Amino acid sequence: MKRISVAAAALMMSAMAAGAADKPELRIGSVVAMTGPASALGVPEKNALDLLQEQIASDTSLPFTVKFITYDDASDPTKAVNSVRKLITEDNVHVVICCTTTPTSMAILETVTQAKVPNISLALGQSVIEPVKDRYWIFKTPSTDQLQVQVLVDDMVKRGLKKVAFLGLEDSFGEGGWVALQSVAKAKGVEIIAAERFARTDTNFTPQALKVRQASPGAVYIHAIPPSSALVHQALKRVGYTGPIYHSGGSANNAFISIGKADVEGALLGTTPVLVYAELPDSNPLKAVITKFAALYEKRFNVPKVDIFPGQSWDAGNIAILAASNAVKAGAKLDNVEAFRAALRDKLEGVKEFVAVGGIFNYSPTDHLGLDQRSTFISEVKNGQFRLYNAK
Amino acid sequence: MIDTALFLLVDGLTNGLIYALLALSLVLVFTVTRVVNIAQGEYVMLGALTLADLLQGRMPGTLYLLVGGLALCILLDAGRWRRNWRGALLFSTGLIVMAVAAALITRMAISLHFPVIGMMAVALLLVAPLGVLIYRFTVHPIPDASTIVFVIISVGVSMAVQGLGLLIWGANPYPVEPIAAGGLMAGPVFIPYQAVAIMVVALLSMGGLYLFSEFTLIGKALQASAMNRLGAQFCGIPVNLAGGLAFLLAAAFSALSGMLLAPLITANYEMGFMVGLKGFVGAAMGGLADYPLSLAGVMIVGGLESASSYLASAYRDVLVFSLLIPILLWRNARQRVETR
Amino acid sequence: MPRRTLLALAASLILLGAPWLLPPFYVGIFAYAGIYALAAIGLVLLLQAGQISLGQAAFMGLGAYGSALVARAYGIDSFFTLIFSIAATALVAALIGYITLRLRGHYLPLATLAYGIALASGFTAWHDVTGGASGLDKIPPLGLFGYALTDDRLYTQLVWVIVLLAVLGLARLRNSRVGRAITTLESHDGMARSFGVDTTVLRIKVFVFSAVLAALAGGLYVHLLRFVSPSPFSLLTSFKLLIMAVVGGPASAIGGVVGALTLESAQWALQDLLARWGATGNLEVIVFGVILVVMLLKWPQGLSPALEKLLPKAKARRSDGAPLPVRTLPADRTDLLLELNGIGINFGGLQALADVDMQLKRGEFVGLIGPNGAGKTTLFAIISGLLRQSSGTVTLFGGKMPQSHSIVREGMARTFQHVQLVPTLSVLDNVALGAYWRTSSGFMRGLLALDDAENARVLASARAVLRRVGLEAEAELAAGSLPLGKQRIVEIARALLADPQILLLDEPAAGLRFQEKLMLVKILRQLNAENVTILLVEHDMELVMGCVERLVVLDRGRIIAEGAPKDVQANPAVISAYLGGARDKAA
Repeated sequence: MKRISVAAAALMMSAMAAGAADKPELRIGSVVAMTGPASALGVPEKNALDLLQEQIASDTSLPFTVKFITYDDASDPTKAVNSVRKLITEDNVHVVICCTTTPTSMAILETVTQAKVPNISLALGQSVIEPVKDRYWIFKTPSTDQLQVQVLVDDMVKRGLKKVAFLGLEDSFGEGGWVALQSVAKAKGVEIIAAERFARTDTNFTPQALKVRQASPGAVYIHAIPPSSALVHQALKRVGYTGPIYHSGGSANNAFISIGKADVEGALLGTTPVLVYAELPDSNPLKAVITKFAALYEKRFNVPKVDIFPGQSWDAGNIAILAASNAVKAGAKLDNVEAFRAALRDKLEGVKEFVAVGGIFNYSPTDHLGLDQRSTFISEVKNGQFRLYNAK
Repeated sequence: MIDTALFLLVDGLTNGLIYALLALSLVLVFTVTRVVNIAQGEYVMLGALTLADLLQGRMPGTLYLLVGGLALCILLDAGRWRRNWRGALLFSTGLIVMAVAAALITRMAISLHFPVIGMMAVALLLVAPLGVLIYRFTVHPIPDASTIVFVIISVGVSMAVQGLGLLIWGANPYPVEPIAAGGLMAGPVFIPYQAVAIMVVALLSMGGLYLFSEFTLIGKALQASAMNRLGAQFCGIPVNLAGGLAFLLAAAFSALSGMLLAPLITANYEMGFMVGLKGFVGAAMGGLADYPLSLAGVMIVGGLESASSYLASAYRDVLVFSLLIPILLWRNARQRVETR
Repeated sequence: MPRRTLLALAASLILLGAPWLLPPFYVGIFAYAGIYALAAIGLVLLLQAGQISLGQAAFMGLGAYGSALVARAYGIDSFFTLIFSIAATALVAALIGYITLRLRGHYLPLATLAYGIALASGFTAWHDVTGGASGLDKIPPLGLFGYALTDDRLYTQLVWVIVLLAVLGLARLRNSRVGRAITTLESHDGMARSFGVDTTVLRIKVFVFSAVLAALAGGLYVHLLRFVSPSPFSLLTSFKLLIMAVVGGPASAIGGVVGALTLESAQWALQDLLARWGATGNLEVIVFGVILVVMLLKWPQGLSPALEKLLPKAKARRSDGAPLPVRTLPADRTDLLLELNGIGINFGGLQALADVDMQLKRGEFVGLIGPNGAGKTTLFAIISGLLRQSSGTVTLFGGKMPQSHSIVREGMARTFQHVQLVPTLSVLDNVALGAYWRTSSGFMRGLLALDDAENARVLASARAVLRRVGLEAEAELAAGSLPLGKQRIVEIARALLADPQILLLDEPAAGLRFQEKLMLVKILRQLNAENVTILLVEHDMELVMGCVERLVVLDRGRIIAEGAPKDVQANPAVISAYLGGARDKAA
């Protein structure tokens, strides 16, 4: 359903004509899950990369032209590894953006490390960038489950809720949430008294909900994406659970509300700024950046409201370009691909206070996540809308 | 303790019935054509997504499939009518008329904002013929193939159709409005009205098909064409018609199942496969040939699913599918399966 | 050197040399193609045995997880953990096979689907051990005593060497004792059992071997990728392996290789195409599904038949061994070999046989006749041990009727009313099946080509028998290409090769021409002169009257007459049974 407007095409062509002759080329290779179970995340990610390619073409201030090469890994680790290899050896990219899910991102660690190519991952898992000493070449843009769960557990502690139950997807997304909850709960002194699993394609969530309700938790944390996250929430209400229900950022999209409707009123979600940017004070630097991105994306791809996933690849692309510009300014040459890769990597660690869609990034040699509490918010479903919770 | 057990029992039975229409479709197809249709679940998906599109006022992507299929049909049969160009013209025109009619009716339904039931009927109109087309393309050319060949073919169909589903509708879930919102309490268990609708439709269809196949001449004739194809033909039974009819009805029932299910869990391209498999487990209890037993089978599957989801939710699939093996062994021992 | 051998050598050299010539990116793909080829070869073997598995990827997963987890957790050399995990998978497969392989028809694929899904779900569910859906990294490379195979090209080489060895082994197996037996599994189960093949055990062996290949593939996969997760071992992969086996074709192990290479290249070509168009969607799955359907509709034998024409013909195996030893039959003609007492059987409500008493002494030549529907074939089936009676006793060689696959060992061989030859095998190979119980080379000896001497003896004896029945010239022809009459004679030759004391012949003259019937009678008379006991069911009265010494007449499930041919011919009950009329009065 792509419709490239004539204007954009003309702009692209003139820009390319203007800049192509003189400037060297920065090649950004990316591998996302355009098909397979993670395609709901991967497709928007690809969209954002396409959008960035179009926008960049008209930016003449850059010392280079940017070429994006994107492959599909079908959510499969083997394909991810092969695709990244192709990008590195055949397409000679300067930087890689990969991959959509944690297992695929983990699978390519060896490959990029051995080839000494910087990689910006789009996965949620903490393990992708930790321990940092083993992840010299790997960075990531999405927030971690850790950060988002932390903000939610903090709220639980504030309310005096000591016992939490976990309901999560049985795939790697759900597992990420489980691992995060376990470590955060332990650190904050909250006890996990029940843990149940379900699948995206299940038709009945009532037994798990019943088990959880019977354990009488003070709070319930659901780590899933719609439709299952909304349906589990509904099931919990139906078996008589009345306490607070927290959700991961996976539920932070319109499908959650349109499926759950009145039943998900009051749900509390840990989320990136993308969901609630409109309610942020104008003084918050994130607001302007996200507003601009949202307008561009929503218009270009004809969606009513942008989700969190495209922002992640948008940020990855922008950060890569920023680091590349800095590297060129410091004297690195794009033609010397191997050396440039190392230089780009160094400049990535030098990214400071970069206001992006997913938050404010501060990379360093010990921090390849780059985000902190300033980039995490709690959102509440109020009157069928996502609203900032307790005005942070 | 007892409360929980009762709860799970009721919950299990009602959820098992969700698979009943699918089990019914499987039995229907198998008893008439001896095909084990692993792709049956995909009609569930097609029905659900078609309805979702219609209710949102969009021309459903299913039309592409229908038109494409009819076109392929014309192409394939063109050779047959080499000498009889009048027949060829008639045939092609007939199919083209069908395609156009389907498109027009759909357009009309959308413009006139048909009620949900009306939209469901239109969706059936679009999806059920796909069953016949699949029969035409995959079973009709090789009626004497062995069971194993049909199993593998249906695997291929399943892959292709699911892939087409993703291509046409994308990966996102589509919410569908229920016929009636809300539900009732059966003891401690909340049963949405939609689920009640599924149960009623399932029981009526099961009962109807059972009576039809056991007590009417046509029903018996349909079964005969599976048991002994040549013999049935000698008796004047149009076996190809029977096969096509079986596939048509099975697709309709499965699509109906999807349309009724979608309001409960949303419609998305992946929903068919697992539902199909669970329906299989249930139908296998009846050896794929017995309506009452497959009804019992799906309820057992539902009960087992509820129980294992409660007791060890991470292992519920392992448990349910491991159960299939003793069921198959039991059925195998109880009857001598004819291999062709 | 024949052109086909050159072609095969060239192909092998290309496959083995490719890892060193391909650009680095393609080496990886080539390795994975080889790994899938190995698993697909296992499926091909299963298809040859008339089985199917929708759970082959689950066995790959067992092999992968088994080796990866143990090597990672305990630091044991992965070479050993790989062997361990293959052995463990073999055990699991033996258990699963024992439970499920008795399932017939469509139940078997459903069962494979069931455990395929159950195992795959298990990998995800057992999160604590397997790392769950997120998987585990830091899987050690393939290594032995400190040496680690980390070089991609060497690894790919290793994989393809293993693949080619598997192909060679299976090609060898096809022409061995076990290989011949495997061809009978799909549609000639009863016949195989009547020649001593324990079809149940053989099916399990084939199944286990197929699982072993899958486990090996899985192990090689995980020590190459060095990361393990459940997604590569899902149902979709099982489906893809099935497509590879079908596309390549079940006729030859090469099919697995061809199928894997075709599919992997198609996959990458499609993805490249999609990436260039900027399209999203699962085009590859759609295309593969359609390919599968089209292949099965148009070319159910896959690409194999076309390939077979390019490959070297399997070298004809030696048939110059010394003939197999035969048993000497005692001259005593009073031995009671077979006794039936009060045999009765009913099917549902139909009493097919009732009160049947019969005796067979050594060296007798007995004919069993009767009008159509009398129950002759049913009685035959009971006598030959393939059917169990409802009442009465059968005593064979003084003892109870043994299990169906042990009967030929006692000394009873038979032919069938509907010819049960394997049509694609040569006449010689079909006959050789008769010697199955007289030889012992098993699966492993067949694979490793250690059975040369024994096989030469079998083939020598088979040729001798063919000479005896006058079909030596047709020895290399496909059995299915012979006219029916000659096929019946091949069946007799096969039964002869089983060195029987009792020969059961079910309508051997049906479809024979006059000359062939003469030949048949001559052979039978010769055999009878050597003290072989013969029981014959026939409709050709002239033939029967001319060679048997005693007739038993069956009508509507009961014996109505017995005696010398002349007497029986004149018996009014017999006449009316055949000609109808006064039937009610007769019985």
